[in-house]
Amino acid sequence: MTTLETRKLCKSFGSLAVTQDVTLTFASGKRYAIIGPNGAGKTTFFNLLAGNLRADSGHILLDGRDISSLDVTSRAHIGIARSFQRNNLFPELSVLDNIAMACALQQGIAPSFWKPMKSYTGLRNDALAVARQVGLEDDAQIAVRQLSYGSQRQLEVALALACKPKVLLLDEPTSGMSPQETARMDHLIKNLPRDITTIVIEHDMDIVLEFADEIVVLDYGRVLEQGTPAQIKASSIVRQRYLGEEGQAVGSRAP
Amino acid sequence: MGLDPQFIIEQLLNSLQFAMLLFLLAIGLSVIFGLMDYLNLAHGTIYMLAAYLAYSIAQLSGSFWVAFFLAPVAATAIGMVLYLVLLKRAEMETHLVQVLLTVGVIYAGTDILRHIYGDLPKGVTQPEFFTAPVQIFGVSYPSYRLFIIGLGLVIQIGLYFALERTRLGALVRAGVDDRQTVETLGVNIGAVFMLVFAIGTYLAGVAGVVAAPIFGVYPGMDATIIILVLIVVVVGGLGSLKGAILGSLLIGFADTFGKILLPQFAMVMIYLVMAIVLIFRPTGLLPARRFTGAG
Amino acid sequence: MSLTRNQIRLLIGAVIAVLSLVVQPRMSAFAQELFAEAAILAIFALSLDILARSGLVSFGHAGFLGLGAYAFGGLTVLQNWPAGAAVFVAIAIGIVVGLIVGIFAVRTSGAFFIMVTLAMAEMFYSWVFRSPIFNGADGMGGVPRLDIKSLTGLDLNNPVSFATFCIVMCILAWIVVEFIAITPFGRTLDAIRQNPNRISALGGRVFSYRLAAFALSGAIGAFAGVMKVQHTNFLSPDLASWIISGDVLIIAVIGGMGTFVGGIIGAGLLVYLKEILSSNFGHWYLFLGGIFIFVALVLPRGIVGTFLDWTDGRRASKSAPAATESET
Repeated sequence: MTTLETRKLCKSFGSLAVTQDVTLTFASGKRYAIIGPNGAGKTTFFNLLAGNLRADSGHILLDGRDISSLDVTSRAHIGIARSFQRNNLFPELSVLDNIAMACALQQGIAPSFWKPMKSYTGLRNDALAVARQVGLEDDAQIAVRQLSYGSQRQLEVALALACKPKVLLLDEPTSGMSPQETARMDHLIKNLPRDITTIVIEHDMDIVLEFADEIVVLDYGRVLEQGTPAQIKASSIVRQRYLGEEGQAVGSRAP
Repeated sequence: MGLDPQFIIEQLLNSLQFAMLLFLLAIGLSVIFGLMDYLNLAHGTIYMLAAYLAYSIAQLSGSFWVAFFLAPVAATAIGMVLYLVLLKRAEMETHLVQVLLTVGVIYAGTDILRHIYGDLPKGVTQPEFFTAPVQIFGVSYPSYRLFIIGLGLVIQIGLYFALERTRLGALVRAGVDDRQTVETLGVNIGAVFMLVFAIGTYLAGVAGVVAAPIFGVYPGMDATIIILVLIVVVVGGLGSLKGAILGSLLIGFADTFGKILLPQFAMVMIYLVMAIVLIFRPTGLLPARRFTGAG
Repeated sequence: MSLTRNQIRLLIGAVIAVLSLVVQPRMSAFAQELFAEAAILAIFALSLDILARSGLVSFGHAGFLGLGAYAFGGLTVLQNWPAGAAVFVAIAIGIVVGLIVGIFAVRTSGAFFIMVTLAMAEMFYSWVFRSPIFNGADGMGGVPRLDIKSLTGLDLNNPVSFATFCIVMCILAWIVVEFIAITPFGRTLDAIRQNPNRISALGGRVFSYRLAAFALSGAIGAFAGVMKVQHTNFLSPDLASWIISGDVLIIAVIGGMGTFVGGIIGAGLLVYLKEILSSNFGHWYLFLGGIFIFVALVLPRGIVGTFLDWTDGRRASKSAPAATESET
């Protein structure tokens, strides 16, 4: 069953077309990876899906409903959550309070002003559960600005997870990480709940090939190729343009 | 009163003349903000300072024209000292810090001028050349006010060419839209800032001198006009010449006609304009590109 | 065991509250007037600070002060309303105007918000300045104080009682904002200040929260206006002038924006400084300008903010440093 669908999605910045006629379907509970060189329009595609940007033309459908005109906040409400390529957290709050904030918004508790946040014990438990899920339970009380970079990346994912999304968009979860941190993140995303439709933008081909049920290759804002990891590995055009001899993605566009 | 065409023409000219004054202040405030992200509320203090200097110079020399040429230059010199000694320190700070700093300058500046010149308004006489009214569109209109309109137009055209046709103008426009790129080009952006600050300050000084014969010179004259200038910038949009021109025209007209149509609620017209603009264009009508998406 | 940031803040507030209540009745009638004024300005600063929680700094807060004062004064003097009812209506007007103005103002943020709030407050100022209803620029006297003698035994026309009443109201306002700050709503405002875009991405309607904060701020600001006009018994357009907006801004910043108790300290400090400086020298505004410049360049985090940062630093140096790379 299709959860998320894009139809002929287009977006340009001035004369630069960053998303061109992207038509894709994402089945519920499946895992997708989006790959492509820098500047291929991967993050722009996420921005369009999450509503950070409005498409110039085309449609986005969630469970068959056209959500193209909804803004970021409304799309979050109906189940699209994202993490960011650059950490985008609440720097003065603790790890647990960061997650609890996301939970409070998700559960509709955030607007209440008649009792202290602490008295919502369910909220704390939910937040702890998410912290455990991403492996941050030991750092729960630490303020974000004192947290290591890798742990901040994990918290990025935690905030999105706390939204209990139908569709989870993870924008380069391992970017800037050390090998150990990358291994932890790899473990984390492989253990994400299977019922969430997950789309990951990722450069690390080892992670992508293991994680994804299906891979989409973007290039100059167009869908160049899509298929299972085996198909993508076998695809001559992808091999030729992006996969080095050892199967690593080339970070930047070849001359 | 009311729909008498002569009266309307006269008021249209008054609106235009007031719009020019607002423009002379708004363009500096707007471009300084656009380029440096600096909210300089003390911009109006330069206006007041120049008006007082014009008063003194006119007293000493007996000529408005000596004051007209010297006072803005002197005000700019003082403004630049102020910038280098004090205001520059808040360049990288939050807008709140800039507001506190520049409000501090307003208070201190007003108190110093009040100490020197006293509380009573001072008059500056119009230049003799412009004392006689002229006939225009069948109306007898003060020629001094026409002079202000003409001066404003000349400065607008001059700024347009300076911004569109010169290398410095191109740098300023690029700097407003994308400061980092300009910095990577190896341009001494600090020098560009200083020059823009000086030009903005000079224009505020010109506004102060030409306003002096019409409104008089008094402590607090800066606060009265700076609030209208802020509205001009909000309505017109930050960092753009066209925005400053459009904003000052709208507010100039709204102010003049607001006083005629709704004397009880003279200011309402202005705020109505601002409210409507904010609903439909929260970043103003014609902001520089960088400010179109910002909140 | 060292205290947390919040505990230190609350402790400072509690000490000031108790000290004020104990010391004030033992001082001269003149000093009591100053206590009343400081307490009222502190309430006003709290209203600014609760809005600042959401990341918005207003430079037109005198609009709310004037609004509350004119609503209360207008109802009691012109309509002969009982003062008690007028207090509640004035607060309600603060909320309603906060919502209406907020719809325009809260769409913006940063410097634009500063400019728009300033303009909105000046609109109110220029209206009452010209309005024949309120006697325009000359203002209007004879505004009564609340009559709570039968309820509490305090005669508010007596300086000690009025100062005590102001201090108690300030403590109440402080408790209200401190409480709201720890509710989910208050925590959301704080998170919005830190990162509004992430709140949107998590499904929070930043505009609505900020609008609610603006209305709440309007309510408390209007209440401060009600108290202010009871203190002076006189309605004047100056209550709504931008000078007052500047005063409350410097009060909040000098104490420490976002610390609540900082506003209370700032109010006390400014009232005290104004008293000693303007009675000994003629040039209060020159000094006030100097204070603004000093705070902007040297003490932008304020007294309490700087102190709390210092205690944070001490705590951090005691425990092992955990930070490696900070986020951008």
